[in-house]
Amino acid sequence: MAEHEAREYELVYVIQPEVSDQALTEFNERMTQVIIDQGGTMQTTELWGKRALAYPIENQFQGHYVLHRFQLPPQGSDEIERLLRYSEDVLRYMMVRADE
Amino acid sequence: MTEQVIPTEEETPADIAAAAEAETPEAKAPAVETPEPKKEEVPLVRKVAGPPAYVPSESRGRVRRIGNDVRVDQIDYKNISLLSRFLDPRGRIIPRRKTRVSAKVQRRVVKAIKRARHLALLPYTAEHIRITRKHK
Repeated sequence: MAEHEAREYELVYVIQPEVSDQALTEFNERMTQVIIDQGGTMQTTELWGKRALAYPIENQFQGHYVLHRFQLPPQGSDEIERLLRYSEDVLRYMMVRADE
Repeated sequence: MTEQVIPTEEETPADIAAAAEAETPEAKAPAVETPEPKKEEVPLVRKVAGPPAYVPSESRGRVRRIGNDVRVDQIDYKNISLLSRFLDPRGRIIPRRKTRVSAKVQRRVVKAIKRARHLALLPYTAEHIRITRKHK
């Protein structure tokens, strides 16, 4: 398969507010590991902390927000989305290209 | 609940990021042990204030020149203070007829608003504003 050029992505996800700081850190590290496993290079991780949601999701009014910036070949995005989709603590996630 | 410090209107996420950058000079500290200072493997994890919380606009009546000073590169789903100006008090996107911005700017603003809504940074409906206000 032809190797595609790495693209720049921004990934934001919202985690259940009850999740402890330690579990949150573990989850972030797991995400980072998956990104690296998929051939990506991490740039920054921003923790926005626990924020009020603009509307309730799953009866929650708050959530932990985390933003990752990284470079990734496009074929790696499926695996990252899969992990986020099947994680029950993730209320919302969004991965967008940052280089457009 | 709202102990979080809401940055001023002018403070865009880029400003916050730049400020955070300045606080972490150790990233540039030269490695003493390793002869070759290789590219850092560990990503820089840092706590950031994040975008300011959404505050519904209270303005009534006609608003002119909502976004005349908006530059295209400022438009981002994280720039909540900017995007809020394009929402009416009920959380609806103000049409271009009223915002008077260029088609290019309006298109990008709309896209950014929709992205922000997905992440619950902005409300979809007036009901959302009502519910969250009651919850506080």
